[in-house]
Amino acid sequence: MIEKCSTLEATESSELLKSLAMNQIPMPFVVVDKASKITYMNPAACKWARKDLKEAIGVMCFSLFPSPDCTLEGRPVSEAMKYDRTVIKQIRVQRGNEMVQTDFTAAPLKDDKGKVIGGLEFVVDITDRLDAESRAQQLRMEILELSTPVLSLWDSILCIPLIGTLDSKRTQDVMEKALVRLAEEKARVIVIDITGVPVIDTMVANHLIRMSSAVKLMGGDCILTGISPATAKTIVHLGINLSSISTCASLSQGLEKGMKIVNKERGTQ
Amino acid sequence: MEQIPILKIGPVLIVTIQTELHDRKAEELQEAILRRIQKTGASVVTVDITALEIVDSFIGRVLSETARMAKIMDTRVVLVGMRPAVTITLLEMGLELEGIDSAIDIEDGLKKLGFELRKIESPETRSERETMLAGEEAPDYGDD
Amino acid sequence: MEMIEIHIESDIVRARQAARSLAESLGFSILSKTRVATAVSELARNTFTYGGGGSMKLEKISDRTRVGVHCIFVDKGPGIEDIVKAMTPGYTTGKGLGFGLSGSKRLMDDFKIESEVGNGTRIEVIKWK
Repeated sequence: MIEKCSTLEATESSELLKSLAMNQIPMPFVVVDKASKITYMNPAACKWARKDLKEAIGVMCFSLFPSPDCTLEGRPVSEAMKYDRTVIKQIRVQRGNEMVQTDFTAAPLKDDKGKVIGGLEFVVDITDRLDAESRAQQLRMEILELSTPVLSLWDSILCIPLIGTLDSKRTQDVMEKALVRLAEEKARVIVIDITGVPVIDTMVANHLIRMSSAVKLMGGDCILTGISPATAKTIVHLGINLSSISTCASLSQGLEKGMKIVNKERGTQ
Repeated sequence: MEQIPILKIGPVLIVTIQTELHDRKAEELQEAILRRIQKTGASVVTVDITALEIVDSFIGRVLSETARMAKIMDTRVVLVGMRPAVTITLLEMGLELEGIDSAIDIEDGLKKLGFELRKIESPETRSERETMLAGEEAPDYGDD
Repeated sequence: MEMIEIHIESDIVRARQAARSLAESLGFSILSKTRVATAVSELARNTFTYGGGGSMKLEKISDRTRVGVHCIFVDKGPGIEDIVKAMTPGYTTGKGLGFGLSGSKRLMDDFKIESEVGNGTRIEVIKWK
């Protein structure tokens, strides 16, 4: 491609190629002097600022590209010129009436002796990228949602098989789902099976204890099952106090315990 | 201000909060429950809070104190029907309702207590109590 | 925007109902609605009990990606001498569990408190949907 270009334009001066390229860079590009006054900007920048190049020259760059995220001194271009380095920041920049999320890159502009004589600014609109990220995040949430079902194990007994790590967000979701089901179905016992939880640390244990307190406040009981020897060891070694939760080694023992509670209250034991 | 009714069925007092509870009303309810316990010698009070959309630290304190006060008078208080969102919010605030027993609904609450009462009652009194729970005795509406 | 005066005890209920219905109109989940209403109840009680009355400004707030409920509580009461202490869970100078301020901070996303002894207290909170 480059080769073709250079052969095609061999008769033209490289200056023309440079100016063609400069004018067609699709992202706004601004050159400023040391006082942050605009000395050049490309057509994309003119379009962003809704100004002709003539009108823009001599104007302070921050008045054409205002951002609520920067103080006057803390602007990327001032930082780039002051410390002679490239600065990339994720900031909002105003375009017409809207605020646009951007990756704002500023670099020092130096003369042939290496002395800083101004700055370069590049603005990349990352709205689409952020939207894609938030969609991906939402997708992750949906997968998470699917990964923690609340099952009806037996009459008045619900079961949550937990698989994977348990962070506070997930605990929150599982807890909310479990409590809503508990209320809807007037269930009495929730069995939480942690066979699929690889590591139980103090934080995870605290989440489980909180879940159990919530179930108790609503009038149910929580039984923790699927405790492997390794998990039991960790719990004791970390000094975690699980005495407020009823625990069992296997799911079937937990179910049996749950059925005892339910039957006892029905007087059908 | 309208009163929150306290129904008496056998040894059980049934309180159903159906209105928004403001602070003074919560304190009045506490007073009314304790007086009713003294008057009737009830062994159990169920407080149904299904209708409460929020329980903040003040209402939480009043409920938990009522339970502890009743306990000193040898009466158990069972909180019934706390909503999931209310439960989670209380825990997030870091509140623990000390001294409170809970049940998912009144029926479940009575079942839980029924078991305990059965343990200390002879078969005769048990059947007597069950007839009462079946509704032969007309409920006595709160008058205080 | 809505201004709610907090001068008598039943204003606490009005404040939390207003916050709840704003959250509802913005499509908050049941849980988040409950969080907002509970925190507002705590803060309105704080204004009423400790600030000797005041007001709550309630409005919708939004940025590029989200909407939220924004409340500002202002009183001209005695102010809080030691904010760090007042924010400690379980600390109280009155009749409460001492979870009013710390609890509502945990329930909301943003929590800003300014207080000057003799000049009152201003608490600003935001809950995003």
